[in-house]
Amino acid sequence: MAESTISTNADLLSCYPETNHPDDALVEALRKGETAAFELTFRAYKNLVYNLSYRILLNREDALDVSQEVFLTVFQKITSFRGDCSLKSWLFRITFNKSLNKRKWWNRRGKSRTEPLTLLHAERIGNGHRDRPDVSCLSHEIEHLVRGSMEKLPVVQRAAILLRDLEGCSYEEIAEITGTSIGTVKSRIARARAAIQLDLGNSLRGRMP
Amino acid sequence: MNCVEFRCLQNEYLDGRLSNEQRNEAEEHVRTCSRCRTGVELLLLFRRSLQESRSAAPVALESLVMGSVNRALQRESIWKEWVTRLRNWKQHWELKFLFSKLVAAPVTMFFFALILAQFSSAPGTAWYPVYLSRADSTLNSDSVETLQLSYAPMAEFAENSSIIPDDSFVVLTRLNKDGVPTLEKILVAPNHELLLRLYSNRMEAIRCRPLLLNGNAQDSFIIVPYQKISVVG
Repeated sequence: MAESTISTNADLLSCYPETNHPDDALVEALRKGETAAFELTFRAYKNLVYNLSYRILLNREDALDVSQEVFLTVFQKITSFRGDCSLKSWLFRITFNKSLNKRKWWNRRGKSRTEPLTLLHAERIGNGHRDRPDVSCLSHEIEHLVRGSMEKLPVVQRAAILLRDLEGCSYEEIAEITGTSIGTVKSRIARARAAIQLDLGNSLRGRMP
Repeated sequence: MNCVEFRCLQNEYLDGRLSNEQRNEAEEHVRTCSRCRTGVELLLLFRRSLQESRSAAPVALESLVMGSVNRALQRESIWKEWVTRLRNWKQHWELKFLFSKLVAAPVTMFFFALILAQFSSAPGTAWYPVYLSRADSTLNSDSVETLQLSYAPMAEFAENSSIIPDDSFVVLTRLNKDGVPTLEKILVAPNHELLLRLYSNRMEAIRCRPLLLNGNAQDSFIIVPYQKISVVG
């Protein structure tokens, strides 16, 4: 692992997706019931919503259901959006709540809907390492391990670490999305990272000479 | 910075929440301590792997969402149509009943006026109860009409027990400020208190028609024979 990967704050935080849309105008248009505005919102946020729900639920079908419900809720309840947070945070809050509800729904029926590790989805955004089969293979291997570590985390810790490390939300935003205090968010992220460090370290030591 | 201090600040370091000074110290420690560096690298590997495994939403999502939105729009339009229908229906029936309301209002008012007239007639035309027994006793209005009692103006009544016959008692009624005759006093012959008490415990009520003088009610007195009192029980 290269030493340059941990050089500055900018490097540490450069990997998050750019999702700065003119939310106010979009929300205003959504409130008026403009279909074009809804389509724009859908296109801008569909990947974020789908990825978050998929990473929380670890099941594609459920993530698809949840994403559909999220956007339907946005369409129907946009008038109840007070505008005290960004549209992205509001979307994440709905996604988080609906994902948790979905999980509880399955838990009540005593079933686990987590997909087996062999089923990794192929539709990647960005760096797929198509020209480097060796890198791609290593990346898949690490992805398996990461996913294995994620599965072992409690769902609230998983959601917190996803919102931080996948979506790049600030602690304040995560607290707002999950409906908890910043202290709770910090504690969840710290515990999740400690568990991931331990689990990933053990897994890598076991696989690599 | 030692390992313990670094571990306390590790999350802040990874999230870029440290001050420049603290970050420099943390970076210095990471460079020198292989254990802490491995820990940080694992977490950065985790973060990078998450980012790289970010997947695009399935194509089917768009058709699913748009389909559900269209269905919601249809449901909304059906709902709006029903609300409009209901509103129209309400207006229709309101118009239909407007005429009956216009008719019903004066008729109702006429009947109310009749009832009020019945109750608010001038003194002298209605019977007024003068309670002789317990206030909560039931009126026996049937027997009152047949009493055939004699009234006299109050002025003629000298408060003298000599005019009270042995077989009767005297009821004094005075008009109150509303012009309604009310019981003022009951006078009995000497040594008849026991007899009256005996009767008054059993009789229900007696009604007095106020004495009319030139069409106006006035204070009056009435001599009531014991035999004519309506007795119950």
